[in-house]
Amino acid sequence: MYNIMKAQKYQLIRDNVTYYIMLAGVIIVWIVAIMITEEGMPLDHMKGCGTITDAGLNFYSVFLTLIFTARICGDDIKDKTINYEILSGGKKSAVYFGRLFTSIIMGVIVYLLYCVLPVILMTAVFGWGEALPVREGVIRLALGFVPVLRFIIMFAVITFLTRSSLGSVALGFILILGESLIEMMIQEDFLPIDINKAAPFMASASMDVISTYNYKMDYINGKDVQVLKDMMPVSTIAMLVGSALVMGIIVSAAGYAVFSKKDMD
Amino acid sequence: MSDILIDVKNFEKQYMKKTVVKDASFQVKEGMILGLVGPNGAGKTTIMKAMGGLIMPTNGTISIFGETSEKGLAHSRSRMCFMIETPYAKQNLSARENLEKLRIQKGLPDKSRIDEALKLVNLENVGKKPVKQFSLGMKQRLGIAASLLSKPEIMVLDEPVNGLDPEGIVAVRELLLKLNREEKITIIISSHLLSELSQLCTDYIFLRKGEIVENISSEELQKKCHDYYRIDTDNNSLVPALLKNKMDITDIEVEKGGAVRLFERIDEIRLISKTLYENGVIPTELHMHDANLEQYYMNLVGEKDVQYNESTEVSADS
Repeated sequence: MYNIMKAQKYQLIRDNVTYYIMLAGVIIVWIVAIMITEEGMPLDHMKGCGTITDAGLNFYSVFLTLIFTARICGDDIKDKTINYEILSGGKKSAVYFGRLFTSIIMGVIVYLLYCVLPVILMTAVFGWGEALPVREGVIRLALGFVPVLRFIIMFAVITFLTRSSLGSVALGFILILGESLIEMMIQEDFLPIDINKAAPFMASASMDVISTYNYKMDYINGKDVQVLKDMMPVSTIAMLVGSALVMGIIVSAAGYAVFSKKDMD
Repeated sequence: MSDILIDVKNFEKQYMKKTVVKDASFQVKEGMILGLVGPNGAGKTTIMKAMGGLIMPTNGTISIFGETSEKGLAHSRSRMCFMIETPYAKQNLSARENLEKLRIQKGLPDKSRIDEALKLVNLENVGKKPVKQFSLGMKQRLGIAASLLSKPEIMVLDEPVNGLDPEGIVAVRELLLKLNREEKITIIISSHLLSELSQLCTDYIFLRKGEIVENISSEELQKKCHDYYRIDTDNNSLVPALLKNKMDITDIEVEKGGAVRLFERIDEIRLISKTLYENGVIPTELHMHDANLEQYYMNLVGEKDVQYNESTEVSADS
């Protein structure tokens, strides 16, 4: 499995498309930043900590990981690279989990570039801000990867089952929108479900808990700002991490069970 | 130690309850170049895929290097190489990068093997050109280079000369013969170019509609495809002994009905006829049969299943 991951790394580094996607991602982040500014929320108002809570970068990184996961898993199915790995004695488990872990590592890189780096840059330019203490910001930033991880696992499983990168992007997109719609309905009280209770089962709900948990509006330095009432309790952190791990293991194991039984074309 | 490297027993594969290979049993021995021959849908690629672990048998077993368990077979496959349908290649990478990626994936420590493999298939000078700009022939050769990277003991090649120009076909043939003779690599090959197979194979398996219709060695096949005289007489039982004693002819085959096939000294048929007559055996039929591999194949698998191009070559397998 380790060799498959190393080979994937070799391939991704040499593939220009990797850099095109990354570059396109940066451009879109800038476009979004300009749009936010033009809609009356200047970046200096948001500051470093506001980038964690308000910018929605977690959600954005999910779309990028969808594309990378589809490429890592789907393209190798399409061009028979996976077939040749099996033909050369690779186990199906190594083929499957090697790609899953590569997708997760790629997800970490995407998260660092598109979620963590903007927070660092914004803090460097505009300061940290008043919304939440640095320690809580770091915890929430780290926890922000948890729902991304859950999405990556689902995308990888979808790709292995559909055996198509395009199909997985389409289904992944529907999954993201579907989860977001349900989460929005919960937030707007259309569904009588507590968002905290939905978080263990829905990646987007857990994302919402991490970014908006326990906030209130306050008036600081002549401005209305969103500030944290209390720190996120350890039980909530444990619930978010634990549920992500349990759901991730269940989903990936189910995906592998189906993949391992199916013939390769 | 047994020289049987692969032992296929009662292999059957069904897709959606449709049987595509039925009760196939054969063995691959060390040093063989085994040709899988058959028209579209005969089951050649299915058998190769099952050997490679891409598909699971519905029934039957496949043993490779004596291993039948999933784990053991995976290990056995690391001593083999396959080229099935599309040759191995990432389109955005160069030939060298493709082989380097494969080397990393296989965990091979020896980087120099990449240069050797590229040189063997004459791709050492293609530079950084991405594979997507390669001709089909170059891609095929890269696929073979990828196969050779790990010094396999068995090569399984599905239509390896498909799409190659005549020069390329000769180059691949010579390469495969060299690998078989010098590197002692056992080869299983399918091709629609029967004339090509006849210059390579030591053994053949003829397939038709998912069933093995004949498993035959090259010598036996050559004999069957050899021109011969069919001699029918009023007393066939005397003919073999008579020809042996009077003319020292031994290369004779007796058909089930009693008629004799004469493979030796067929240009002396007048003398043979005279000898028989003078010894009291009256020939009632003397018929020259000229046969070749393609005709033999057609007789075996049925003409209606076979498509020909201008050079009477059988169409590619699916």
